[in-house]
Amino acid sequence: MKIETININNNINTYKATEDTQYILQMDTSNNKYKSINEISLDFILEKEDLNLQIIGPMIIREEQNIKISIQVKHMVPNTSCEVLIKSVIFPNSSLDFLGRIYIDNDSRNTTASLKDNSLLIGEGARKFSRPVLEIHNNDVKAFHGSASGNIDPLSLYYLQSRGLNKSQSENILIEGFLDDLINRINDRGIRDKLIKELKFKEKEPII
Amino acid sequence: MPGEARRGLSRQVVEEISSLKNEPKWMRDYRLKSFAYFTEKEIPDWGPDLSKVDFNDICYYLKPLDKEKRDWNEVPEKIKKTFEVLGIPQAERDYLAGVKAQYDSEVAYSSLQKEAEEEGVIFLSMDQALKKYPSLVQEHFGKLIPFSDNKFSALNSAVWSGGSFVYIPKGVKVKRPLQAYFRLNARNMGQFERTLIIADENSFAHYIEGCTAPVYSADSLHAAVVEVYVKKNARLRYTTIQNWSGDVYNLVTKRAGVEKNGVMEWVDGNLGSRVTMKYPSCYLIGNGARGEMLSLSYAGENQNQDAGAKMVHLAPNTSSIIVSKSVSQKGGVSSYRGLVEVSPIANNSKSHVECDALILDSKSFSNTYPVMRNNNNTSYIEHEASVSKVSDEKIFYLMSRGLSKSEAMGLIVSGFIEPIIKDLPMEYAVELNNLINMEMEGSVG
Repeated sequence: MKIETININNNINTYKATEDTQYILQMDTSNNKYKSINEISLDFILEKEDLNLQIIGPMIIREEQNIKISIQVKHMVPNTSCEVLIKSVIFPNSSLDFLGRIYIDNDSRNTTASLKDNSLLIGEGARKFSRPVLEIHNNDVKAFHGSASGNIDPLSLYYLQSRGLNKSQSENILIEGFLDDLINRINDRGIRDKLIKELKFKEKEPII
Repeated sequence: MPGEARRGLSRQVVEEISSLKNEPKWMRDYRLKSFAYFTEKEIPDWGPDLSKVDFNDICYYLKPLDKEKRDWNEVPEKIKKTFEVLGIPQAERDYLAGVKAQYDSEVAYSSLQKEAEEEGVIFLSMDQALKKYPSLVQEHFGKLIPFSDNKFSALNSAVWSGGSFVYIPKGVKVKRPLQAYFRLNARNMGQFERTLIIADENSFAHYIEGCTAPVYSADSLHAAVVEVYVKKNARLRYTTIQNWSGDVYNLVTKRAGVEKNGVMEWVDGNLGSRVTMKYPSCYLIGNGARGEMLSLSYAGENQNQDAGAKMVHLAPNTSSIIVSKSVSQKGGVSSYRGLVEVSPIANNSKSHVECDALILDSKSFSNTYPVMRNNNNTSYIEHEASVSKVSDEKIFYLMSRGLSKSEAMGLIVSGFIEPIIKDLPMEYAVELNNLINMEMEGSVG
């Protein structure tokens, strides 16, 4: 599977894959770069048969940034599949407004599509809006979407603290755990290591 | 002029309705204000196509004396067949099909048990309630759903007639369901019923409206408004089963305000109609309030079922559940459109949404448009949706057991909607299953 990284900074982009591709969304929200961007829109169109797409997006949203992102996948031909996995960690007074749309055309028989969008809301004022849309015009499909948003599990936090970790260390571990399966899905080792490294940021700066 | 009801809508018509009913001044003013708003407001630019609704070709009020008879032979075959399947008595068939015009658009309520009445339960038609309990009505009317909520609530507020008024006093638990049947009795007769339910502290009731039999009318509009007040510790269940004939636009606004530790349950079954747009909602305004929604929709030929739910969490420790099941076949479109909103002060709230769709053939559509807004970091929102076809393995297995293909399909669909059906009163559940089996006939092979 081909690996392609997408640096999220352009507003609108369309991607037409010609071979099986794993797209990895990268965004660096440690500076205020996204404050001026109103809406990010990425369209993925499947126009070639027997194509499989994976879209993997780890998102860390902080520094009071409000990010609006839309990801659309359009299945136009038979025998295609897509898997969208977005996991976001939203820090105090920041927000994510996510629109994920899967469209399956009437011609696109034997399609498998899944979209998962999970968020961890950390601290007061963290907000998450989500609109996972499915539009299915054909019955020979398996389509799924799931969306969840919530806090760090207080019991897990308590458990780790009872083992002698302080609060911010415990939170780090739980955030890493939350993103773990997503990171392991990344096929490219370089990108994976870079992400893991980026996630270590909190040891220096306690977040709450 | 008796015998022929007037069509069309104008300020004069609204005034006439009000004076015919001898209403108090505040209601008359309210109707006129609503009408003014209705004329200004545009038709929603989202959702199913409503451009074919001709507001001037509908008659907005039918006096009880006006009669319009239809010959039994005029009734479409399909409707007759459905009556057969459901085993409805001939007398009832007659007025359901509009052959006998013995019911007007006011609610025919008959089965209010004496014991409920003795406990102080008020169950009247809205018009009667306005006369008998004007202050109770005035206090609650239009407070949850103001006329300015949307175009169709404005229309209803301007021309409403019929509907029920239910008041359950403090601490009263009504054992048997309260039932109301609404029937369209004339062609092109819009139904604009207005229902107001007040469940006072610590009370319980189950209210049922509608019936599984198809209600036959030509190019009709049904725009109802239902307001439900669930006070402290009260619990109310509102069950709707509607099977409008294939030309009805069913545009209903339903809303419940739920106070501290109250529970509101909507059970909603949508069959029939050309277009249904219905999103019952719960405003959870008291600590610990709970809202539940079970929704079932079936979209067949030329049908667009746009149903869903809204849960708005406005207080801490509130919870909500939405379960939506939809089946589409023969080119039908079924959509789930829903909202879950958690306000910044609603700490520790939880919401779970589940919507499943089954598409039975390649001509049919299914859409899911959920919106979730979580403004509070201590609250959880979960949403899951899946769309699939009936798997070949399941069909094959059932056929290997001796079932025909359509029987197998019917069985699988029954299993799919079972979680909703099991919450219905028994007679409705049986009828609904029969109905779905009938719709399934000839859908495969």
